[in-house]
Amino acid sequence: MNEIKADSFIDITDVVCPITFVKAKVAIEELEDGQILEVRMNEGEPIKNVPSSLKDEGHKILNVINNRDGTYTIFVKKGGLLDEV
Amino acid sequence: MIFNDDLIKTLKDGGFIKQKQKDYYSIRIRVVAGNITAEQMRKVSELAEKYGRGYVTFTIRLGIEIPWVHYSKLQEVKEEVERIGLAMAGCGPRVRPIVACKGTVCPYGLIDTQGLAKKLDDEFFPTPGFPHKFKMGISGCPNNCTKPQFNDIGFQGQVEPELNEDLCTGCGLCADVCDVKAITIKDNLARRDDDKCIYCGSCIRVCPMDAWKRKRSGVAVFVGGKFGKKYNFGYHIADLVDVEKIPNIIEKTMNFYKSNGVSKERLYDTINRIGLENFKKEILEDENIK
Repeated sequence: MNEIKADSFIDITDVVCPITFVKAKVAIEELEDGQILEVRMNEGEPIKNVPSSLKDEGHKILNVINNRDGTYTIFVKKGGLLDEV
Repeated sequence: MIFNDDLIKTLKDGGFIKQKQKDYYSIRIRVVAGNITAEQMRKVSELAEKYGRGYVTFTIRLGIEIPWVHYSKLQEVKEEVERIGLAMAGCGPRVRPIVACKGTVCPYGLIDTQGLAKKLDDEFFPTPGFPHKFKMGISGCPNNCTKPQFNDIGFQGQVEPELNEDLCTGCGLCADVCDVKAITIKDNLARRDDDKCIYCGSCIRVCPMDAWKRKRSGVAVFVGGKFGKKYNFGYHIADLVDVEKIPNIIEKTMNFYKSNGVSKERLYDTINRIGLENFKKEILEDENIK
């Protein structure tokens, strides 16, 4: 699972809610459906809200890695949940 | 103008708050579930300009007040308020406006808080005849933004999570976001301790694999909460109660309060006098409640 190849990467550890999700959203909008975004975020509030908000908008979380440094990295497939319905 | 019988009757209906300034009243308008249409808002603004001093003020129970209305205009204002489809908010020993959070649209909301507030308003506002005031509050989740624990009866949305073990990858996000540390990861699988769980649904929301699902929703019930000079949290008497049962629980609580309460006593004091266990037996009996 850790071998997922991302098409784009964004680090949102330098911003706080609600900019965290906004930055991730803008980044994923630049991709084509099916492409994969890698997002690095802080634990706590961002990890609580950003993945669920991405899911709400139809993107699929492929993997979650705890970096053990207070941050997480997630891999998101654009529109991945829309394929399934 | 003198205080004639009609005016006194109008005042008794409630919603007119005497100001410390001679002859002036603040007109309290009830806003059901905290929602008011843009058109009504415009009309309220006009009333504030026509009868008050051109401004409105907001109450803690989501209502609107128009201050600085002269007593000679009270009946007239009341009629105008009713003409735009709004009503005065009661004061005195009766059901007060029901406070609900924005759980209907808030991402954390686990129940339709504003729909519930509207339903309870239709059914119970402004029931008079209590020993003292009777307040009800609703929050959509354990974040408790509307502080249901400070109402005579309060409800808080909850969800019981259930894990589909086939989908869980043991990534640990749910354990990380759980504020009460009810989840641990063992053998690459999430495990939930029901004794610690507060049913907030964070695990369901955060789970990337949708392994955590909503098993059932409901509300926690709090009774006897109050603020004022002698404040206290309501007793937490039940969890995960079916939303459909709420009106029945309210009705039983009201009957208990009306038949056991003495004048000027809030529900909290009545419960303490009669005993919490006796109260619970009367209210939760037949409800098959956790």
